[in-house]
Amino acid sequence: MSNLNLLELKNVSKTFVSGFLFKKKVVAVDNVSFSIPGEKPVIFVLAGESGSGKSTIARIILRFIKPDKGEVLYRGRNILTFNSKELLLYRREVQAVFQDPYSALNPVYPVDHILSLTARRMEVAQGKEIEEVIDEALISVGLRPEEIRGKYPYQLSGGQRQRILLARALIPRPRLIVADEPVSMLDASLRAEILNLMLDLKAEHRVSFLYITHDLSTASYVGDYIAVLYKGSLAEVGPIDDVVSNPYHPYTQLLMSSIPIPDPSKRWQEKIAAPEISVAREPVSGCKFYDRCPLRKEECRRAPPPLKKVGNRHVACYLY
Amino acid sequence: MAGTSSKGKSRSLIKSLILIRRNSKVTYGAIAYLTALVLSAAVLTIYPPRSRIIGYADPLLPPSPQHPLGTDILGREILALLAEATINSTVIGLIAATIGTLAGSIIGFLSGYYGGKIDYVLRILTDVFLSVPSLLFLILISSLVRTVTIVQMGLLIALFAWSWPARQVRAQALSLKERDFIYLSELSGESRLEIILREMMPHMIPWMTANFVNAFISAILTEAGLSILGLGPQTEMTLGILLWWPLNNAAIYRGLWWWWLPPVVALIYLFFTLYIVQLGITEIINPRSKVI
Amino acid sequence: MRVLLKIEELTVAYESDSQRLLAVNNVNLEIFQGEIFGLAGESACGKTTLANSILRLIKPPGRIIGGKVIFDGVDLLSLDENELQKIRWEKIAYIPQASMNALNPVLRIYDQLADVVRAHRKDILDEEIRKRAEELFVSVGLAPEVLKMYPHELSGGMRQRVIIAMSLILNPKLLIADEPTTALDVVVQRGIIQLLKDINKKFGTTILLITHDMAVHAQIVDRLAVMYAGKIVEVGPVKDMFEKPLHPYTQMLIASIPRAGEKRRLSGIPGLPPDLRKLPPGCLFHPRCPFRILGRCDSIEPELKQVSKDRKVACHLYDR
Repeated sequence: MSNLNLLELKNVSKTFVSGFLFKKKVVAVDNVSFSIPGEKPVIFVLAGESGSGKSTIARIILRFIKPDKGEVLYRGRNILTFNSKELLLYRREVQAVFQDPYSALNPVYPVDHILSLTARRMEVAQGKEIEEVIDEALISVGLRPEEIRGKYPYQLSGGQRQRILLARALIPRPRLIVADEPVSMLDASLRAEILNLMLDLKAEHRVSFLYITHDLSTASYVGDYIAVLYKGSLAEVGPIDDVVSNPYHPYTQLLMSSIPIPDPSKRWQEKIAAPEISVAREPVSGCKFYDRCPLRKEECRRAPPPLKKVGNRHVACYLY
Repeated sequence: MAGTSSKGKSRSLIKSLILIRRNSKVTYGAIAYLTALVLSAAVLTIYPPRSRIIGYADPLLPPSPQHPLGTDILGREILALLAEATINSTVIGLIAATIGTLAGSIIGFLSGYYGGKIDYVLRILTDVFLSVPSLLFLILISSLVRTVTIVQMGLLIALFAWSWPARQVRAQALSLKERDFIYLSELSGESRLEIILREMMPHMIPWMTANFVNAFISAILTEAGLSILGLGPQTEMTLGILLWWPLNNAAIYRGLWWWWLPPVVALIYLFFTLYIVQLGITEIINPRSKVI
Repeated sequence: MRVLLKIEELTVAYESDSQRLLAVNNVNLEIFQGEIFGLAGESACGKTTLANSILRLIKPPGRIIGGKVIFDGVDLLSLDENELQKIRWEKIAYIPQASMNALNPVLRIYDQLADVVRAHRKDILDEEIRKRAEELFVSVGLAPEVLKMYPHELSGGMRQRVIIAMSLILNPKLLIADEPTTALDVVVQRGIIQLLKDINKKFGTTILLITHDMAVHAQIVDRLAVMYAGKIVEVGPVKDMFEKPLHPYTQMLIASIPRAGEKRRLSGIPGLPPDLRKLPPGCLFHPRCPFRILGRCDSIEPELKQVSKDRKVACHLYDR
């Protein structure tokens, strides 16, 4: 594997404008930079709550929308400069799985449709070979081709559909799969299977994942690294075990302490204050976490803190 | 199973056709309408063309074995006129509905799919045509034109028939293009055109069909309305014209029921059969809306 | 401990054309006054149908075909609609799934609250309603100014608090909450869970909490019942249930939950829940159970039996 970072975001920003007369600006992504290392396959977690910008980043990486500022480099090359041939190669190497297995498959076709389409359009195989490629992909995600081929999405369960989507993503032999909340809509017992599948795929097929989620328990189960987003900005980036057990950024601390632990003997002891944030807020000039931060200082209000290297990770906080 | 995709596409088309055929309302409604057409064609072959010309028989004869629906004021065989009118009204309806639905769907799709300035302009156009009282404008336009042929009538009605399909298809396109499976298709390497034709079209076809039937019904009724007012194609017979004659000659007052009743019954019948078809298509689109 | 709600052999069926499926299958349950009782289970296990049937909110094609729901000594299923109206909201309050999105968008919060009160107490004065609303809002952590606002001006968490306040306004004895935290961010979720605990402590309101999230149950409930395919498979104190789950389904369910910081390999539950229209013979879980006893589990349905002071299990492994 090359020494280059597999994927690198540099100062990526994206603002959405809505409305014709009364223009409303929403800064979805604000100067985000992080890199996914490429020497060996990793599962890189992009964590954040609703409104954090994580889905927008996913769409930027998948080239569904263009950032207003900044670059996205795949193996050193700016993905926005790709021509159509390079874009095809990019799509072969960077695939995706989405959150809702129910809406990700076109209900009017049997599931074979999207599988063989991917095989053909991604120039993976021709003619008869396509069937072998599809069967192989289905087997590698733990499905039996005889049970799946020819079936319509409504005939399959959520877990089966999600596996099919993973199989589809594997067909072009990608280096990176962007998984946007792949297990949130599945039952707990199914989640474990899909998460284990991701770990196995990483080990056996050498695929890296960009695992986007708000669920830190599943994130810490599969993840190697984590980048925590808050309202479009990065709060903390680092190896996941360290960040989870010893969070530096006050927001990360708040997040970690809010995760319900499935153990009745480990109940929350202290109470946290009710977060009464009103919806309409003017853009803040300083740190975005200022009003909720228990450790805030005067300087936090003046300018957003830069992402600094602290120990084995990066933190955007004036405390460091 | 090489080429699964094209087989899949034909399989799904067949599936939708089977769905349509299995739905009793659509089938029976369509058969009922087609029966009327077939009967009309039969009548026209039995009765010679001169039965529809002035002086064929004595005027205003009540129904009898020689003249099953009697004759009108010009001595024409009403049954034959009815057959001709049914077919012509159908032709007008078909022209208006086809052009209206096709044009409207294309405009609506471009509007919804591309958005931006194209959408802005097309949307204003659509809204204008939607909000304008179409019957009034049609009256205005047809009164300015001297004679109208069947085809011209169809085109005229089509002028206002496209706006509703446009709005509908636009809404469909807007919602479809954001669906996950569309994004997935792009990720799988499908080109824009392929996505539109292969992934989105199967979803829009039921709606376009419903729009078509809608436009068809509306066109027939609009034509009847215009023709009753005397603005229809004078040279050829339509259901509306068939109503204009008795209305203009105080048929009701004079008790000449065989003159005004047949076109009324025919219109109601055709409308009803198409309405049943429409109910059936609505059921297919939304299985939870079973009314009858 | 006094029994507040006793469900006896409740069965709810959904019938269409020629098929019938039992969404709630002969369920027996007891909820004590003053406790927080949790009902757990994955999708389509029947927990929401069970909640709906307590207040007779089942609509065709669903139908309650048997059993009793005894609340404070009275069988709710035997009451007529008028008498039931006096129970709803006044004695038993129900927060359905996603109700925070069901607030009327064109009415101010105060007006919606007042509507509820006036529907049950026709002669009450406006000042009384306002006073009670303001007190209640403080208890649920909302500023009284929120009363003047419209739903769209509030965040998800705030709306959920409004819903909780609305449900408490007539001082019900029992509060049924169906997935009250599912759509919320983890920090907001913690606030709501805390709030439910506070309400239970402060007002003595009995709470029936329904959610698939076992970690939430672990944090807040006193006793827990696990449902599978319309049946209760295990009931007991939450601590015991987590420490030593008896029913294989409960064991596997708990084993499939990731815990932040733990890297132990999770196990899912292979197979799928049964098709409720074609139930397997014997124990409904036996096709997926690694401990099934051939000849017994596949032919005889296990009953929910008391196996210790507070525990009940429906499993042949614990037959004497």
